[in-house]
Amino acid sequence: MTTRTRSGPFRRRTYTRRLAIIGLALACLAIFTLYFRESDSGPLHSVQDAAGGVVAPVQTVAARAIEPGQDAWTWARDTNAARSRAADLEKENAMLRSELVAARAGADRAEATRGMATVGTTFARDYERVPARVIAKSEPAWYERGRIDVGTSDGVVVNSPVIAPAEGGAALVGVVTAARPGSADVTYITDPQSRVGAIVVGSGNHPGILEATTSGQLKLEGVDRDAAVEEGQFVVTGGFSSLDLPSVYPPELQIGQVTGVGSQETDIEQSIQVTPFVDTRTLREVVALAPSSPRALRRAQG
Amino acid sequence: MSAASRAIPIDSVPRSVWAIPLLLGVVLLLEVTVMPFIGILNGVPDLLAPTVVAIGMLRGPLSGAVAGMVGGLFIELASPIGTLGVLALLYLCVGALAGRYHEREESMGLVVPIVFSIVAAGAVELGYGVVQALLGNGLGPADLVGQVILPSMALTALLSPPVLLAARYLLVPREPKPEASA
Repeated sequence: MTTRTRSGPFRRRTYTRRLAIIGLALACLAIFTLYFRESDSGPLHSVQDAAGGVVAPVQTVAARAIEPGQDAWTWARDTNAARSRAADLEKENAMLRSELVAARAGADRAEATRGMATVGTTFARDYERVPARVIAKSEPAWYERGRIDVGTSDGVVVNSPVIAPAEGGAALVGVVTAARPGSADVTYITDPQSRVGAIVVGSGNHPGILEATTSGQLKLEGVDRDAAVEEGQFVVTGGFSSLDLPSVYPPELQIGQVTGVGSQETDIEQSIQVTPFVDTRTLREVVALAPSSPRALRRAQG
Repeated sequence: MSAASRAIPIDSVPRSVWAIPLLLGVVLLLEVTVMPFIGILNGVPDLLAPTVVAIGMLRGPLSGAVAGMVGGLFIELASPIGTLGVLALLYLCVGALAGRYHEREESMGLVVPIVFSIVAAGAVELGYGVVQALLGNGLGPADLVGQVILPSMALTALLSPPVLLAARYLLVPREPKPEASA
């Protein structure tokens, strides 16, 4: 072990070093404070946005490079889940899945693209569909956001809705919150800061606001107690945000399915749990909707 | 003087000039590209924590603090998240604290840096969770521990040894081989 003598120069060096570290910590605090005090178009947000654009090409390459590994991981996870659900079919499942995996690696991309062909048929006049790949993700505990490899050069703008293929067709997954020439950041509907005006299909005219819960599920708030809501009903975008203002999302885009309804006798609103059709944690292929009509552009401008 | 004659051979460039930027650069690229895709539950492997710990222990608290601040800022700039300066401050603290072990016997082993890295990864997640709670995005304590901190610590424990070995290979100057006796 080194013996330290508390000589004058040593003490001076130690004090200088401590002062430098304290200075750096204060700089971090200053950046943090300024970042949260400024608007979304402030200088620090702009720097962050520009840095995202610089890193995006590298993230694109990395996302492609790890795709085979992700396929293998998905396969392993699926296999494990199948075993726990149906032990007696384990052997048969393993055989089928091993055949599936061999085909899946090559078919994944084509399958996703096929799904996208049916996407957005009800609002095709207002939006141009821009297929995209998720190239980066935020830390899932705190943010549900991703970065896609298309941007303003492809017609995608801030507030462009983003959808993805689901079992019953296309489903909403989020909205573009930052756009650059070659990439864009998407805030998913499961992000804590996301709010989507939505209605339950078949429950009458009872709009609500869809918010994320901590478990990656959604809850629909503000729906009247009188609304006839049952488990299994579909939830779609309402085309409004609040106070009847137009939403950035076009109406009638499917979002998810009601998985729980509850209310106390004293409540005037229902508590509705919604499971989104698309699992944003495993999302890889999406479609950004680039506004192509004046009506869609007005929506994008909020 | 021609450009060729001014060129500096790589062997003559001090290791301290290129080793830390090289190590930090590779780790940060992996952290913002590959790591978010291989998380378990809501935890993501933290490669920056062992890197900053290694730099702090092998090069001192100031180097550790600067590396932590730069690394944290880079992650916040390059990832689609909504903070700036928070991770920089947390990793700065990790680097500065790890630097207290500089020139001590513990820093040359592998056990103490691994344990320090795992604890640092958990502490960073906890600190970030507290800031998120202040911002209104808080998770419940059980979710925070069960879904974020413990998975992150477990994944960091798995990936710390290779990172620490690579850091030691790059940052510790190798002694010249003794000349063979006649």
